Amino acid sequence: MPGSASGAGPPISQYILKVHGRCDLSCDHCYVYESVDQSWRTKPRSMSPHVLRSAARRIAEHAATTDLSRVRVVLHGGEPLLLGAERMREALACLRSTIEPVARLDLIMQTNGVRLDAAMCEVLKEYGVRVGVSLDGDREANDRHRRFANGAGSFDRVRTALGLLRTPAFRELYAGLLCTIDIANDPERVYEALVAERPPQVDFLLPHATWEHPPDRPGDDPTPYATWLSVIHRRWLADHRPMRIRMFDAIESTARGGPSGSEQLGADAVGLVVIETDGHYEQVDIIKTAYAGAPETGLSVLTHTVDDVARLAPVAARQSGHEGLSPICRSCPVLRQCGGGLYAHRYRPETGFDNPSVFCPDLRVLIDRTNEENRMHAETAKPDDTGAFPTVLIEQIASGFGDAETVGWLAEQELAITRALLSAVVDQHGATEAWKILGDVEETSPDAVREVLTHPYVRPWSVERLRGGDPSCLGALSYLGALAAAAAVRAGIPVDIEVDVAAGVVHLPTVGTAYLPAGTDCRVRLESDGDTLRITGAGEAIVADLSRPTATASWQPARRVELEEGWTVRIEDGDPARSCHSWPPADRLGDDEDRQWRSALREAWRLIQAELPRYAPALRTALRTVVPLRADETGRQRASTARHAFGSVAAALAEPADLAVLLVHEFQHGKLGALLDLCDLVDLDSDVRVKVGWRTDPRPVEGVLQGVYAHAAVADAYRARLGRGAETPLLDRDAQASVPDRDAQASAPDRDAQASAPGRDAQASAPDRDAEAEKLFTKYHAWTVDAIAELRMTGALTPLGKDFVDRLETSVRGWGR
Amino acid sequence: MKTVPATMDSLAEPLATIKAAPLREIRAEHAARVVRRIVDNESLLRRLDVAAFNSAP
Repeated sequence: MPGSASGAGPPISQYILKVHGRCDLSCDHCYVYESVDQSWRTKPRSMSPHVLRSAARRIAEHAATTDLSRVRVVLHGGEPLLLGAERMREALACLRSTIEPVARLDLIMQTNGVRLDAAMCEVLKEYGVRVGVSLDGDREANDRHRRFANGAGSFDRVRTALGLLRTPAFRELYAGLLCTIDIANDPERVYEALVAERPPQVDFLLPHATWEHPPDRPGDDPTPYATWLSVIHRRWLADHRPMRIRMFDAIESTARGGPSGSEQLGADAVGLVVIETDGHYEQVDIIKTAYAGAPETGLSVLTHTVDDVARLAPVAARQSGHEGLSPICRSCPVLRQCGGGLYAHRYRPETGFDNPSVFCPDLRVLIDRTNEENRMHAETAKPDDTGAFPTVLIEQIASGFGDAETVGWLAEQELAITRALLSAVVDQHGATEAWKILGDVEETSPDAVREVLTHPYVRPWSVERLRGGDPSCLGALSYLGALAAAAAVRAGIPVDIEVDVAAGVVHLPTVGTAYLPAGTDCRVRLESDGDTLRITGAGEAIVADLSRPTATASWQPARRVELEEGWTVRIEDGDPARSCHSWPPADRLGDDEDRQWRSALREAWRLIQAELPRYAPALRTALRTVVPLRADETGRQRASTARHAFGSVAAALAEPADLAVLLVHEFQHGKLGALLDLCDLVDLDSDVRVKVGWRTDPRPVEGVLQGVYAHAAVADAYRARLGRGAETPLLDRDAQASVPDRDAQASAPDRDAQASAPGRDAQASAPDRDAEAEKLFTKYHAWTVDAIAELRMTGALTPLGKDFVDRLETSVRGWGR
Repeated sequence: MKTVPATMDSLAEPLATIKAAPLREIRAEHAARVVRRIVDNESLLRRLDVAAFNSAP
């Protein structure tokens, strides 16, 4: 048993749980079965429930004594899937119920994937287990080592498993691929095979080797592993980094002085312990490649605490960073990036692990070359190729306003997101005639397609499809057919396509809506010669004259209201996809309602320009639709921003003065949502909840940020109305605020706010209104300032998020009275 | 408009390639990255906490 270090030892936050000790593959490069350590032969085949319960208790106990807020358990083997679905469920239930009362538990599984099926995926999904799969590249590369005992390759079985992990039902499980390098494999082909599986992340592992058993280095190249990896790095950069590759991320991060996030590089503290099937604690078991018994600690979950393990000298030494490295490493110029490489690769019989990595020459070359290639890539790539942020993006949006150029740039990113999601829908469900038509129209009339795809509800529909939502709601892929038809109509190109009727209508985004006889539930044919649109297959044909947008009982052309010369907004009352808002949308508007909406919007826009001109450029640039909501039966205001419908605001009809504030308030959510699509302002994994003035229930950090941003604008609106009591009536935004939740499709109504009575008082005198404006300004301003202070204390703001909040606070504090 | 290069910590890079491609030529791996972010709420921040174990069974 290794000796003990003095003191308690650093906390252990990561556990490798060997739930099964055998494997259904016989890979010849496996360190468990093919290394000098053959201890697997004497260990139980699988972890017993008793040992598992003990392990879970020890982990929870250690988290409690060391005040760890988060623990990670990696289900490993052998092959963990050999446990079977039922025993897996029992094991996961035990881990969750024992550890989660003490610390947040991240569960990960590393598997060869050959036994992964839907039943197992359901269990893993139920318990929130993310799955990493081992794949060494294309068929030739993978099956070079990853074979069954009978010699058959595992490639096809693994690819089937990966296909399952890409389905909407199980995509959330897919953590990434683990690829063991063999320089006999073509790196380009390996890369292409991995990219084809669309993994969120790839880890490349250098093969197991020590100074006693050095890696294969055929030919004259002194650093063939660096050469092999650099081929992939260059290709990855050229492909615009379609997935994360942890080794390259680590080099990029450490080059900037950050952590490596990898055992293979850098000298991050490694607070990790293995728990074997028999309950024994071991050090990282990859050091089995060094010598027999290398990872043993002599301690067990049945007899010892994790604190006892953390005190062991070798375990504590893994957490000592650069100080624990050999003298040669400590004098190396790339020490901070290399960190001595993987611990097991340092072993030499005479000096143990106090050596540089046996891959030292490769790591040195790889790090230097990768640094240089990254620098060149950043310097020479064109912004249009690699993506580039406007330097003033955060400054502009965080100010609370946003100029036309910045918001226009955000709108372009939103369009690109919609295009990507549509493409993913087609990739998932298969190409259709509609997709072909849309592509054909784009070739000749790209602006027509662009106009249709900027319709705010294309993205909510795509997201719903990609989440595997109920296809009967909006037709499986019929919306795509409607988009194609709409694009063709806008381009004046003849089109003939069949689509399903959804919710009693056929809606052509940006063109119009056909209303079919009640109860119609069938496919209809859309034909257009460029001048007329014919819809047949559901009773009497509907014919619309496209040159004269006239409404009939069965056809409603898109309702456009010009708010300013050259800028129109659509009043959207036809698209079934608009039901993603938190309140039900109004049905097709009657003529009177249409007139009321047009009048209210025109007057609201006039008020925004007069009172809140700094919010006008963003609205004018990106507001495309306003969705009428059904009125609240008690007369309270309703308004909503749907998270995925950038460019749209939904509301129940309100007086123009109210509508002006409402549009400004809701569009704040849209601007911030677009920014949050592109970058993280808060830690999405944060569990922190914050008490805020506008809700009784504690809110997640992103919800607070959204609330702060929108309420700041409301405070600003009342500030603008101070002293203008005779001109503008007031509305207490308490009565209508919505607080979007990033996880939700639509913004959740602010229930606290709904409970308060509407504040609009048309009969109040001008001084009374001024007093009321003062009161409301004070309230919203205080809410905003207080919530900003709370946000700072969460520790969940990213550096960019802190910058954003700092800038927003500067604006808000400047309004103080 | 003055710009700064995008990093892996943002979605700007795959979006740049998507903007430049005709609809039918958008590469599945770039679309997949957008799906992970937008549909699955994937964090763009690198988890550099030596969280995952670097070893295959």
